[in-house]
Amino acid sequence: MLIVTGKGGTGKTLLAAALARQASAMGKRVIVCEVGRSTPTASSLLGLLAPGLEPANVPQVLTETLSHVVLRGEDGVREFLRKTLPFKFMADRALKLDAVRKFIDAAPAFAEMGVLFRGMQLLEEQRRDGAPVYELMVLDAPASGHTLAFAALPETILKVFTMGPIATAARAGIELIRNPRATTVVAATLLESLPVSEARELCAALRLRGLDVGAIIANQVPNDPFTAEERTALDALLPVEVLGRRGLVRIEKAADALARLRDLGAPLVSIGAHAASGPSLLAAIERDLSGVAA
Amino acid sequence: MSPSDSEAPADDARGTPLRRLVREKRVLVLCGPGGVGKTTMAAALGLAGAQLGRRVLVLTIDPARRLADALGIPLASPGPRPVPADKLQALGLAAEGGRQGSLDAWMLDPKVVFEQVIRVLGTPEQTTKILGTKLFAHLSELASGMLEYTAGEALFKFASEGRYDLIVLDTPPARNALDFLDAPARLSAFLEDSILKVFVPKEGAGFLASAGRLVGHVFSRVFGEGFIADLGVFFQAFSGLFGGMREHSDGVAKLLGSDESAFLLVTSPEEASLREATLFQADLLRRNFPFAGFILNRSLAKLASWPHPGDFTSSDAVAMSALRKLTSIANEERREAAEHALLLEELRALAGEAGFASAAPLLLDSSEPLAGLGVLARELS
Ligand SMILES: Nc1ncnc2c1ncn2[C@@H]1O[C@H](COP(=O)(O)OP(=O)(O)OP(=O)(O)O)[C@@H](O)[C@H]1O
Ligand SMILES: Nc1ncnc2c1ncn2[C@@H]1O[C@H](COP(=O)(O)OP(=O)(O)OP(=O)(O)O)[C@@H](O)[C@H]1O
Ligand SMILES: [Mg+2]
Ligand SMILES: [Mg+2]
Repeated sequence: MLIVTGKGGTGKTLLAAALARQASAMGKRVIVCEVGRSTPTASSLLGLLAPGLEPANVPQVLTETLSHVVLRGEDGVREFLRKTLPFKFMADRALKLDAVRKFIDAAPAFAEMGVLFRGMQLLEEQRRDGAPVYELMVLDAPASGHTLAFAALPETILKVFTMGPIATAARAGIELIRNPRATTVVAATLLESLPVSEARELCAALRLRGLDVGAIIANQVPNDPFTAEERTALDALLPVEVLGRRGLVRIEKAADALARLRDLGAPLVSIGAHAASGPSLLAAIERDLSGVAA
Repeated sequence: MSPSDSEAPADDARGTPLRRLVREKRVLVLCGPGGVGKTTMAAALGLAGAQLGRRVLVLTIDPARRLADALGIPLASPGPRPVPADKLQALGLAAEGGRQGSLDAWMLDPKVVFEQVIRVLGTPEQTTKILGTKLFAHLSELASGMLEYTAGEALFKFASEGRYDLIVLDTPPARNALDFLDAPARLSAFLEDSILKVFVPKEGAGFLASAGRLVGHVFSRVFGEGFIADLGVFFQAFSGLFGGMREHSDGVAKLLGSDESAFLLVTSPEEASLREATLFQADLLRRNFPFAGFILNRSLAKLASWPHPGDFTSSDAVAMSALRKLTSIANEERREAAEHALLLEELRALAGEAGFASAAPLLLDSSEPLAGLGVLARELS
């Protein structure tokens, strides 16, 4: 499982799409997932990969080696209940009950465990020959604060439920996400000073929870057209308040930011700031990434 | 408060509309999409209020380390802390006009607030029981709406104590404005209603006895007996507290709906954020909350009046080549500046007669965050 995370708007969705496409082009059977609340009517992830397709909560085959699915907490909860209760119909009926529904609604921890459970279930699916249906799951994760809560969730659950089927599922979840051979996190960040501080904190927090940080992706790295001499000349010539100053500051900060990301002990990948959108932006990002997916 | 204000022109002698809000309101609520600068604006407006001589509390929702550092307050504390006077003085924000203002800030801790509520509303026996359950220990991780609910409780507490003239309330990022206002109801749905019926024993019968057999079966099978017992203790002790909790939340709703409060919508110039902000506005208006105006954050509009690299020249070939390269970057910035100025006009139109739109500039150098807040405070008021 490959979890793509980062603050809001850092490019998680584009990167998840690009990474999934690359892995699938290398012949891996890939499923790319996003987390959905109820019935999503629009998905920017699917919009990038297969414009025009409606997102669905069951896997949709996009190409021979690439599928897409929306992981919904309620589906996971249903699957969990079906597995736990003696009869499947009990799970379906239980979910229709007001008391049970309200409980699940108000305690999002259950819905989120549901997302994890649903993901694990898809990873366990097997083909006739016993090989896994999906060799790689790429998750376009919610923004970083949420991802951290998500990573901590099975443990919290275990503190409250020390025994029983929920505890068993939580333990399996911990085993999956804490195993660096099974799960790695890719953290995306923009190159401003604060986002970088936050990315550093995110990495530390993920590692504290036993997760493997496989790569850090510096997104929208500004292009620096100036030589060192040119920079010095500009600084001598121009006042602080001048059009273009913001661009100069941004270039300067990006260099500092990259230095601060380099010492995090995970491979650092730079993606340029491209003046494109939609499929051509995705293609440009894939080019920047080339070879990294491996 | 001056009730005849609605008649006054937007930009009267007493300053910008935002300055008037900061001077006159009791509660300012900052809402908007994720990451647009709600917390930063809350701190800046708090500074502006203190400068106007008011006793201000800034209640922020997310533990923003840099902001805490900038304000000189701890990241985690059991209650509001004063921003040190030397910090305020450094900004030139001490005492303007007759009265000395003050600024307290608190990064809200849901657990602290919730425990206080239980202590205030419950008997010592109920309190001990509730605090002893595992469910209480992990409620903020398990139940949704705890943050929003406790923010409301904290607002209720500080507003009724009268220690502050102005409370600036930051809100968590949300898909829509009402998430924040509705979350307490979701939480009480969790604590009340049908759930309670399942877990609280009726005379003579054990818990779960009164529930349908299926519900009982599902809960005990799935959760395990240990957790069910914990839930039973929690809900039973809790059932006596609802009356008080509801009173508080009614008080908060009344305060937030009154003209002592004002809701400010923060947005960035990005399309997605603008789109969300206009939806937020519709939500607020539909529910009759006092929407006051928009704050367009990270605006480049001011840059429009800055000189262009093309206005400069040099006899040095290196400098000339650098200026040429800078031209395309500068042109892009000029385009953005014009776009942001236009955006502000559009937001003004959208805000209507009674509302306003103000711009907060993008700070280029954030190496001194407190100074940055000072700049924003001045720009906003
Ligand atoms: N390398 C890039 N070059 C140019 N634009 C980019 C680049 N990466 C991202 N963007 C822009 O940033 C926007 C946000 O990207 P994306 O939707 O992938 O981010 P996200 O992290 O998934 O956002 P969210 O948190 O809202 O889900 C995109 O609309 C795209 O236009
Ligand atoms: N005018 C500005 N100029 C430069 N940076 C800014 C400005 N306003 C906010 N920021 C920076 O943008 C980031 C997001 O701001 P902030 O935390 O206030 O947003 P928020 O809306 O509270 O976010 P969240 O929705 O995550 O709570 C912070 O790093 C902050 O320092
Ligand atoms: Mg996304
Ligand atoms: Mg915030």
